[in-house]
Amino acid sequence: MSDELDPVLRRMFAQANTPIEAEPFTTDLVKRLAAQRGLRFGAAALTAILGTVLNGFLNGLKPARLLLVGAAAVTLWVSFL
Amino acid sequence: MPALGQVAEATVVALAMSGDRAAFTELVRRRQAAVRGLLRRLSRDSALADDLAQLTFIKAWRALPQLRSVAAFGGWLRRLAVNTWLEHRRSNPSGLTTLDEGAPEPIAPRSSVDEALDLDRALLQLSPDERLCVVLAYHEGMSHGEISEATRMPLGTVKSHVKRGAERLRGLLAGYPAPEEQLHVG
Repeated sequence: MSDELDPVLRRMFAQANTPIEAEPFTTDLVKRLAAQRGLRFGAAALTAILGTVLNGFLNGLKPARLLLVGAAAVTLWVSFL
Repeated sequence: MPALGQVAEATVVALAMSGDRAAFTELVRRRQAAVRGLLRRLSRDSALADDLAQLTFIKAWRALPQLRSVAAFGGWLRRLAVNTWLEHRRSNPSGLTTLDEGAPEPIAPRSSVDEALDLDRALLQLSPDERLCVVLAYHEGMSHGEISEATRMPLGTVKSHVKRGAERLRGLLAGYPAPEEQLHVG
């Protein structure tokens, strides 16, 4: 059996191809990608902050210092948003 | 430096592969009609098709760094679209749009504007696998081998689906004339 196609159907499929406008599809997709990137970055930053605070706690930092490290980490996170 | 819109696709793909968001947006602008057109023909629901097209491009953005060659981008993106459609079918087996109420009736020819609608109506009479194979062969111009590779169906099954699907479509659209007959009309 060859790949030969029915000429009537070929014509119908070719004629059924109507132009599709790029907008608002493209803009919506860009927004969706940006939102996903923000979520992923937020999750990564939160993990990093918790890791930093836990590390400080395990290494015997006093609560005031822990707070200072945590505040520095949050400041760093916010500056990237 | 020329605007991205005037740059050859291979360069735009290479830029997007390196993480350039503007280049990827340009690729979306260039390829969206092809991806959405394919998914619309498969689903006949333009909102669902556009949603699946968005998923396809999101997957493409994530997987682009793994693309082996810039020249393979078009085929790779089409395979991603087909996979997205197949995943949707698997997760929504009951939600598939197929007209299977009673025996299919032949569709009478109408104006050329309605022809596309008639084609879509006739496509819905096919089984999902037949529809997929017929659309990939006729809409995308893929060979049986390419369809087999993209859908992971055996080659013989693909050939059979394309043949039987096309025969059923021709039966349903029997009123539409062959190209030679059309030349003599009017």
